[in-house]
Amino acid sequence: MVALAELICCELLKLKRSKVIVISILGVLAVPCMMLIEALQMHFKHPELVFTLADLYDNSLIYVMLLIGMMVYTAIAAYLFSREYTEGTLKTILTIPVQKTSFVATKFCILFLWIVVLTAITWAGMLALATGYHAALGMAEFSLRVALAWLARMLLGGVLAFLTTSPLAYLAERTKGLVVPMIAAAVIVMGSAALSNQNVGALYPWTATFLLTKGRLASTGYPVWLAVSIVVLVSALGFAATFGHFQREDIT
Amino acid sequence: MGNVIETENLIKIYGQTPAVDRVSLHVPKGSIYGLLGRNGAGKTTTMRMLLNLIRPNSGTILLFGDDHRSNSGASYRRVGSIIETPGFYENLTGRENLHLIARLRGLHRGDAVGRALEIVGLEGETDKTFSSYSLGMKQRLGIAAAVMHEPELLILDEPINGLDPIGIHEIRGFLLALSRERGTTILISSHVLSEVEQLADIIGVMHEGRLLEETDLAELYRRNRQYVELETSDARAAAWVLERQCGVSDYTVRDGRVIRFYDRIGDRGAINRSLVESGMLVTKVNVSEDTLEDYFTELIGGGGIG
Repeated sequence: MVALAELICCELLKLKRSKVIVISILGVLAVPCMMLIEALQMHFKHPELVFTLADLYDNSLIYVMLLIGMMVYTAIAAYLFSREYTEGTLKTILTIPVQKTSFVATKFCILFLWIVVLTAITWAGMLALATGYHAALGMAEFSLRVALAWLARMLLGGVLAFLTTSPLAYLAERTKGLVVPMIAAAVIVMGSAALSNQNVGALYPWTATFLLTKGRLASTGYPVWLAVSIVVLVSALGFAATFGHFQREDIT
Repeated sequence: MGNVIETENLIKIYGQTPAVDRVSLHVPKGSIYGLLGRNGAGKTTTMRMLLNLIRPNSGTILLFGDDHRSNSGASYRRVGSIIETPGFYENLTGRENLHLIARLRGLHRGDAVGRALEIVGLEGETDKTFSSYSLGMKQRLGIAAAVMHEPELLILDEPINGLDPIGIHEIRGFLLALSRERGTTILISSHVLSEVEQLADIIGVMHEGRLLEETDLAELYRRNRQYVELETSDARAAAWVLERQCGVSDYTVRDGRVIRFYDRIGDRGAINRSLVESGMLVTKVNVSEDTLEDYFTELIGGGGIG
């Protein structure tokens, strides 16, 4: 059977000239742009307020994890899993033969890498625009050390976001398309928007990951272990369903 | 000569409908086996089961003598295949697609991709992505991918779909050469009888999920007999005369006026006279031969193969 590393290399090759890469990068770069616009608005409305770099990163988390990020990560997951059906390539790849479990594992590896890279791009975009803002208008506590600390925190958020994308990957595989997972993601985003400021959000896996990354979970009153357990359970169910369904499915 | 493919009572049911019903195929080593049947006969489902893309409800599949359930995949490395329209990554060129498949196959011979492209005449199409290929080019690339690793067994589902007449001729010649020179076993499906007839050594006929016949093509030609077709005023009365007065035992009544008989063909003059003397009007006497198409049409109960 083909080694996982070889499968990952081939999976990366499959993305050559893929427009989804550029679209996903533009999608996540909307976050730094929005944060810059928000910061400029605040500056001209309340010139006495002084921003810190940490404030900027902290305010961006809701977009990175709950709103734009969720939609972009779902689009990527749906693309990775559904393209093999829409392009009719499974009959070519699986007859090589490639093991079905390795095949799905590779898809998840690429999804993970992609989310991590997009998180890093978002972080870098934020840093670049914050540098411009700092040069023009000034920003307190602007240092690379702060930025790097936030990179680590955003990457943790990226890992948690990856875990909660697994049910959407399953939907993409099950429905062999983009529409259902994107609608599901929109519903999840609406739920996240409604619950992100409420304590009960700790029990909603997609908000719990946000609260965990933000360091606000403990203040909701719900035990951290409960929120983490819910995230792990949803994630495990998503992975199990994706692997199980693909293993059982006939390739027609 | 052993069988490279052997299935026993293979069944695949979708809902309540059997797509493949107790199919027992036998594809001998080195042969070209033509699986013939109308669209929806179960050819593609059978081939997908052979390639482990679809799990049968019951039955056994032996590939190179290995049971598919305990097969770790080693047998599948010896197989090349095309199932319906070939599937490739649309954002990649033909060469990149083949390169990807070669990597996954562990094919490290540097010229493998180039040689496969040359075989199918796509060596010049270096910049075109698969999405801009014509149907014929896609089919050629599919054939290149199937033969690139020099498999011992080729499973080809309607491989000439979309090819122009010159392309069909080239691919046919290539498949024949593979079989004759390298001893590659080929299982090829088609709904076009004339195509299979020009390639196959053995023909299997599928209809409504069942394998109705599996026979040597040469034997089939031997079996196609001459017959005399009579058009009379009353075929039933003519049948009585043929049987009772002329000693003809092998005949078929085609409709109210036409009757065919397969024995005592040399006595057709005397038979004609007997019919006329019995008061029947004989309007036509033809000596003919069953074509393969007639044979298969009869086998599947009318409608024609393609």
